[in-house]
Amino acid sequence: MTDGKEKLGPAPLALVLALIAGALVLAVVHEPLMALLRTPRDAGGYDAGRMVFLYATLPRLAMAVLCGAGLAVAGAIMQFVLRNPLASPTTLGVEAGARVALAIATVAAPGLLGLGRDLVAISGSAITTGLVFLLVRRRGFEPVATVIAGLIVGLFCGALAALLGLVEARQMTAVFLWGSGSLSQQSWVPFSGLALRLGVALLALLPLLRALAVLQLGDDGARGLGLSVTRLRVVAIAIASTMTAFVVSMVGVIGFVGLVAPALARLAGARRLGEQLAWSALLGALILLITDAAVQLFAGQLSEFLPTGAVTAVLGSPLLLFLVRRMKPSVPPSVAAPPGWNDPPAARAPVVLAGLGLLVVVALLVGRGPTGDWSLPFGSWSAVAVWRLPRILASAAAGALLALSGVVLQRLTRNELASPEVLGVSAGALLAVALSLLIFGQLGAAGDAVTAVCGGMVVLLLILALGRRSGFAPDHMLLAGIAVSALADALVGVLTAVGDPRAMRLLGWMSGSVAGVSLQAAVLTMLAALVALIAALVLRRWLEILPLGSEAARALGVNLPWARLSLLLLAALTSTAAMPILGPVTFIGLVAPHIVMTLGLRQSRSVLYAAAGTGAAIMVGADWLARTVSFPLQLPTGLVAALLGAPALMLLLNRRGRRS
Amino acid sequence: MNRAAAGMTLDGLQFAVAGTTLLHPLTLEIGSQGVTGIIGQNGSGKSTLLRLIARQQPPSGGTIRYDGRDVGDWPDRAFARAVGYLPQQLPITARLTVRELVAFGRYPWHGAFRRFGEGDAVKVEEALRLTGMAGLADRFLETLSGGERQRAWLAMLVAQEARLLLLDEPIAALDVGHQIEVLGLLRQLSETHRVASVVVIHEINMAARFCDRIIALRAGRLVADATPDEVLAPDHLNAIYGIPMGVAPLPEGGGRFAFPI
Repeated sequence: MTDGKEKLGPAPLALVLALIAGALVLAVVHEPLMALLRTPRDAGGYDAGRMVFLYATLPRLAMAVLCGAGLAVAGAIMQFVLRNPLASPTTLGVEAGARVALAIATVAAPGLLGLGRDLVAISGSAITTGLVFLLVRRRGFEPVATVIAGLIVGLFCGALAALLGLVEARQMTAVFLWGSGSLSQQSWVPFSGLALRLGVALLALLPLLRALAVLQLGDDGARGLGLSVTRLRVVAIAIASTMTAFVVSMVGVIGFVGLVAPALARLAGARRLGEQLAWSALLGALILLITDAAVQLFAGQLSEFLPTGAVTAVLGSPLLLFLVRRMKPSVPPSVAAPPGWNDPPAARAPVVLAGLGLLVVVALLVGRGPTGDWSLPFGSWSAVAVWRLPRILASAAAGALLALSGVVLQRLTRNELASPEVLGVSAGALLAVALSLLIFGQLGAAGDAVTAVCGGMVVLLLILALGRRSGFAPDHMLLAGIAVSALADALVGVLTAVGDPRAMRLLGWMSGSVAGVSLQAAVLTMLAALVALIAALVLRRWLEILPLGSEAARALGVNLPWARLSLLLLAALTSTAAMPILGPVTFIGLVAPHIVMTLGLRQSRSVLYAAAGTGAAIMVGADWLARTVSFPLQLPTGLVAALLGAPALMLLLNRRGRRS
Repeated sequence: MNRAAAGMTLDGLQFAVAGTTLLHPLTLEIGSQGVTGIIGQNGSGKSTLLRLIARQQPPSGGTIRYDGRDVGDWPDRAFARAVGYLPQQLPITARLTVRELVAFGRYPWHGAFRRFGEGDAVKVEEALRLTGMAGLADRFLETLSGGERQRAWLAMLVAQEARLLLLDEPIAALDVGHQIEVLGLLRQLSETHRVASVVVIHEINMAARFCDRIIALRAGRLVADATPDEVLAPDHLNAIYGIPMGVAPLPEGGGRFAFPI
């Protein structure tokens, strides 16, 4: 391109960020630096200010630069190798593995932590990454499968950690804090250790760069040039995961930098792999440095506890939104072709629906009595039904709604990673509930529901306004949704880490509990699910044609902006309808469509029926487990659903891999 | 039935992107009947011209009218019922059978909401038969060879029942046998169904053999608009391709062929 702006690439953006970073860092170090220079070198005695500056402030800033760059490089590699702009260093479950390992160690074997928190974390990361590799080994580490497996493993670990957090809340504050990424330092030791580790990883990466660049030609093209594509991909992913694990084990989860920095570099014009890596590293370092300096400057007393990782999103999200707005609509989606798998077995939709029916009956009938024994309530049927029927109805309806939303989004965006949460709508709801908790205090379940729906709608309007210029191009929508989600996560992360008591209530809502749903609400949600199913069936021709690509769809006379807008609205409203019941738990929206696909269904009508059925079945089963497993304690249904659905999908993926 | 009269009327049509003019103002009537070939070097603006006519891109200047009406004013599906377009790069799609793909060709007729009726099914079977895809109708697209896949997409265009087909290099990836098959199908559609087509084509001899009219572009400007017979002259070909070209009679007579010298 002859465009002058393109030649400059990300330089202007980097310059602006560098100036901001410079100013903030100067503000942070100005005073202590002056003091340091005034005191003579050999002045004896204990100078607290000087110690803080030399061994806390400076290493912290250096750590920010190092971590930002490391995560950004890891993210750039992941996005490049997996060919998905939504991939990030945490995509393969590295972060979730570390988190769950820390949580389990904290609860079950605190002694292990004595060996070093970073060791525990790294082991956790290694185990999850190994699991992902095991799952996709048979499928030749094909990008789409790898990303899905990573996401599933990550979701599973995340749910497990969250559950532990809820049950063992007291011991978990430290894990929460770590989970939101805190850069505070007491010496230079962690910095030098991390620098050494990252340096080694980078050295291992350098000889691979030229080979990696060839991957741009696609697997076949690269193979044609004599590249061992699979091995290369495995090694690259392993290195990127290792880099992430190193950073995560030291400072906790700062995953967003790894997603946003490479995205920014690309949007701003970095094209070749080398350019992408270098600019990503620079931008990542600057973003984290700015965030951390700002936290140190403005958070005052809280700055030791305010997790920089969470705050990063506050800076990164608007940047991403800004660049998405300017992005040219012609950027082709970098989505890999869907994997070809063996021929589908005959329609399984009836099987799914029959299973759902059976589950409902079991859930309705089997329960535990006041003494904790298992019982079939033949005598007290009417007394039990009053309590069980609403939550079963509500679970089923919410599951179906989320699953439908997921099917619509995945087809609309042609991205297998799309789920209702990447739309940003649930994040908006979460944000609204969190804010209302902060400002008005508790509003009760009904109040929360209304707030959530309003928040979701506001975000939806924002995203739609943002997407109007590009004709609702799916890749723009996804990035915008991610930016909003990160913002919401950041706020929740800050709340939990600062130890605000209201955070527990928020966490409870987030994990999705259907206890105490009224029959009225359950029936309403059921109706919403029916309406959503009918609407999706009515619009199913668009769901079939849009995957053909925009050119073919346009040539067939589909009004693209209109079709995309309708489907986007459908997906958003559908997932919003589930929110009052389940909170922002959208996991089912990701998993159910994939389960249906691995079952071999393809035609949109049967996919829609089966996905709704699967979503409902998972939720009903999860709710039953949540109700009975740790009786009399009730677990959050949403979390249990993740613990149930993730392994199911892993099994299916594995079986599918074996067959082909 | 006023089929033959409809066609594209280009008036001062031009296209520029980021300061580079890809297509200089062009005034032309095209696509009312027969098979029209667009030839020219790589980057001469052939595909751009076709994409503009197909409404895939709005022009930077000038107008395109179809059947007397600006193409931008046509409702989407009405336009698709009249004009079909085959992109140069056929998308890799989720698992689809040939019949399912061809059935998408009925979308402009039944739209998003109306039933896929008996009549639609008949048209789909007809299209499958006409393109010789009936035997492969239940195969998955990705299991087909390149030539078969190309024909499957053509079958979709046939099912679309458009009066004008726009095809962007439909034979570029095919062997000679399949090239003749595809272009022969276009001839057949033109003669028996009065379906006009505009084809971007690289192979000058193929174009000369199957087209009724040839339009040549060079660096975004029209350099020839003539019958194949007139275009097959060394002077014309030099102007189009920028290299010395020769023309010789076919051994069996009844035609000529072009070759680079």
